[in-house]
Amino acid sequence: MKRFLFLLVVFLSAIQLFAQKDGKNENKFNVSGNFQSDLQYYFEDQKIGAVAVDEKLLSNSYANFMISYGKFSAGVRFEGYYNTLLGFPNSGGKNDGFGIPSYWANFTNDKLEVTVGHFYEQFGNGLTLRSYEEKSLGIDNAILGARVKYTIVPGVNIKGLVGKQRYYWELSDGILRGVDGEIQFNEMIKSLNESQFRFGIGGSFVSKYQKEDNPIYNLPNNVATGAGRINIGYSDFNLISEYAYKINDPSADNNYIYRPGQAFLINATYSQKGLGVILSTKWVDNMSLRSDRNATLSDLTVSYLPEITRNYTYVLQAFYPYASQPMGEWGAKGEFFYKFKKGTKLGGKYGTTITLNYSRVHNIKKTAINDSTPIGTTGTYGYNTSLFAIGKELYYQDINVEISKKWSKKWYTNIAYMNLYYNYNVLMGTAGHDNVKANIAVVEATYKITDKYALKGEVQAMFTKQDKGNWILGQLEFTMPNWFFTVFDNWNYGNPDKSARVHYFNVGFGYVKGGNRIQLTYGKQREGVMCVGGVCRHVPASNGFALSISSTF
Amino acid sequence: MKKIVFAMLLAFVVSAVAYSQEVPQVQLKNLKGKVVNSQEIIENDGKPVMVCFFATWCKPCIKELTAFSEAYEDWADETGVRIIAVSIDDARSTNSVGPFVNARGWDFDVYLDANGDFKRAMNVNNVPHSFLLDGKGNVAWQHTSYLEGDEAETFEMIKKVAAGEPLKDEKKEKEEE
Amino acid sequence: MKKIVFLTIFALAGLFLASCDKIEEGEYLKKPNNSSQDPTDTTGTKPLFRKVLIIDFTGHKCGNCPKGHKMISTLEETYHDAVVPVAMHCSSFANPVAGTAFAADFRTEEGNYMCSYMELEGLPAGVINTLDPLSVSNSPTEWATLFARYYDVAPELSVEVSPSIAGGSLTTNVKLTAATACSRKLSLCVYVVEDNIIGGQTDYESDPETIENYVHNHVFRTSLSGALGESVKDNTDAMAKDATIEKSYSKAFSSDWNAANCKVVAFVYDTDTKEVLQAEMVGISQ
Repeated sequence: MKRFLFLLVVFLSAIQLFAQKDGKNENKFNVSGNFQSDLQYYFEDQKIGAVAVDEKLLSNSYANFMISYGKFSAGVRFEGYYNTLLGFPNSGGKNDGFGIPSYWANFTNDKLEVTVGHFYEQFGNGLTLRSYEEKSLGIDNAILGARVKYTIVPGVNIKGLVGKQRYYWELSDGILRGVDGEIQFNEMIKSLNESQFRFGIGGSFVSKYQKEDNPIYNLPNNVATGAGRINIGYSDFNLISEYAYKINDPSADNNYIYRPGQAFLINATYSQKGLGVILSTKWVDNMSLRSDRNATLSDLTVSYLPEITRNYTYVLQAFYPYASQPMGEWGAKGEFFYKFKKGTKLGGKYGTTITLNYSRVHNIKKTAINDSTPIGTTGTYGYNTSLFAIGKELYYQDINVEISKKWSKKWYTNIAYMNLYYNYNVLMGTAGHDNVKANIAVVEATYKITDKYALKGEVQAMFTKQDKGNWILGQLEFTMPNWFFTVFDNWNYGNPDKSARVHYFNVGFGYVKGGNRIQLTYGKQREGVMCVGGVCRHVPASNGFALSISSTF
Repeated sequence: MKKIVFAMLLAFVVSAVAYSQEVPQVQLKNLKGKVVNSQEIIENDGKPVMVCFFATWCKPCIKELTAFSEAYEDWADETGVRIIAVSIDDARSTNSVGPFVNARGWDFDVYLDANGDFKRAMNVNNVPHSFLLDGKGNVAWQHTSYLEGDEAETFEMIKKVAAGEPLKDEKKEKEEE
Repeated sequence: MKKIVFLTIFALAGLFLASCDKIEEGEYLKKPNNSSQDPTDTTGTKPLFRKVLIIDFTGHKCGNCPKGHKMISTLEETYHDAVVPVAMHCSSFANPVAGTAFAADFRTEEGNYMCSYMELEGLPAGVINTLDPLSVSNSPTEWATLFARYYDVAPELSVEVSPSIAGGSLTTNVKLTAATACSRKLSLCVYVVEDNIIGGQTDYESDPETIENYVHNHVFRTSLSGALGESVKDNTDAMAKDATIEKSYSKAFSSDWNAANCKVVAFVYDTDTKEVLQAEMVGISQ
């Protein structure tokens, strides 16, 4: 490995010298890449349930190198986990180690793109296929194989791929084959190019092959899923919809039942300068597809079922995150953005932006196939349901108001209020836990001391009678050119268990220059859940130092 | 551990010798659903272009783009710079980007990179991350994160690139010596 | 060129359309297996056949764990004593709750050790014929697949177990015989499990979710050899066919356990690869 790296350095340096000698870099070699390393030192802290690790220090690192020459490019990635940070998928140590998990070569011209090696892809909204990476959750389900994208005429695009998904340092058992096509009529038909009315359709088809080898059940070797989508626009109005269907796919996700799966999304938006409105709804039943029927957790996902709820980033607003329920959910969302214009009474000198959003998610209505078979019994059809049959159980609801205002050159504030209902048992996979009803308030204020020095203060509070009770969080952040310093305390002052009223205190600083960033923090991290794209990960409590370095070059 | 150190070294060695990133050719979508090519959208008649990666859920990104938005008219008048915002929102919020941006009154051209293809091609680790391209489409300067007041430095860089002046770059300074 | 690409892609799409297997209702279950081994055949001299160890990590408060228990009984219906199950209750799902149906504490020192040794990320979790943490499966249906994979492979060794209780102490003699020449390093594990224990169990598939008088089977009680067993052959010298290794273990037998429901599980595994080579489960004679 060392020799390989050494050769790579020599090779890249040689290319670079060669390229620089020639001065201009039109159709010359280009080398670029990035790098990130996260290290954490763990102390034991029984009060918050943090454990020390045998290694004391754990780290996740990766580096990408890319080289291009005209229409050709190629890349390679190195990853090292010594050993994997707590809370990242590891499956008994499968993720630990160092290696080259991906490499690729690509040719692109105006019409054609060919990739061999590892690649990421999304068909439509991802209902049939989405191969992606989400470093913060340790997800990388890149496909190793070949992909072709082709523009037949402007507005008509097709893609096709075959491959196997990455599974830690290995590959999935199953093979994926997929095609996707899209027609945008406004681009295809010249006379419609400038039309106010826009119309497009698309479709995708994905098939997974995995040898069936179960001694008890007859399982399908090939599972297929297909989807159709449409987009209609008129002036400032847009409507997007997609419907997906999957044939019998007994899997660990659906408890090995044989019924087909369906998903339906509709999203309508209207916007003009200063105003935006979004209405959307979705209905999902038994739509999880993985390239291995036995895979669980975040492993080997093929279908992607986007959450309909908003993605919150304030710590206490993100305390109880929603995760898509592939086995059945109905949801609706409304979002409204408005900017009071500069110079109006509410807008003040700089304008005021207000955001309102509401979402609600329920289970879907399922009925047993007969009196003697409970819903979802392994080795049966499972249950019956029909499109848009909504159940009575509430999974999640949020109402949120957020107002951002710049008062003067020096002052900026953002305030938010949220009301939340969280079905703890369903979303966390537990039983007998109280569902959480919470009110959360956030006030953030930034004061610019001079043009380049600023102080930001933040207070967040969550009030709830359930789970761990009330929390309050205070944060101060000082920023100056290239540097930032931050300190915060998250205090669980309302925990019903008095001995668990813990302060989660954190202090840190960082340095940023160009594409490089380095950050060091010390503090306690509470036990929690992080979700992205229907995948949630339990993040264990920790106490210690964390160092993060990243660079783009 | 040894290997990590080595990989880090390698990263820094490469970053020291190589710095002439071009914008690769990647497919993106505009807010009307049209497939566009990353090399087409950065054309600006030989004047500089800022490419800013953001997400609707990223607070520092919104602060950065709001600051850029307030200064955009002045910057464009003085240097001819064009600002492009690339959203990395995934399918959860891809369809919300249009109304989100429009309501804030940002005048940038906005493109959707729902599966992070352009983000990866430009080696972005985290958002916000901005690239300043010279008139030939080469990366002249880049910046990650947003700290209050960063727009001043950004504008300094835009002016230099627009005027064709060399950027303050230690490596190049050494070479000149 | 344009047309060729277009046609190729659509021809491929046509192929894809054919590539899905619809399974009709009524055909979900497979016909009983037609393996050359017949574990039900007890006539004459019983040929040596493979017995497969399943360690099921479980907990009475784990609502998805009965899926694992059901899978083990489904396998037992078809494969009878070729299934050697051990239910290790561990993690917070196994914590006892005093004054409820969940008052019993099925946790054991060795079980807790195995639970952390396997680095489990959730329950149910099972290891089939191996002690390798990388082979943990969270999907009981996959256990059946893994079971079948081992079941059809002839064993390299036979394991004979003869346990007996005398004076409150359990004594077990174990005899390993090489069925073919064997040059692996070998380790031996001897566990005690108990069937028919009535207690509470959470089951998400039952209504109500709490079952107060659930029958817990193959509950791991103790190990006579330590959680990971002991090395019985620590070199790679060839062990000739029919050569034997004999071991004897004894340990106090708790009065809390019903000896009539207890069985001794013994299995031998490759010390390096952690693959289990043969397992055996025998009732205790008194």
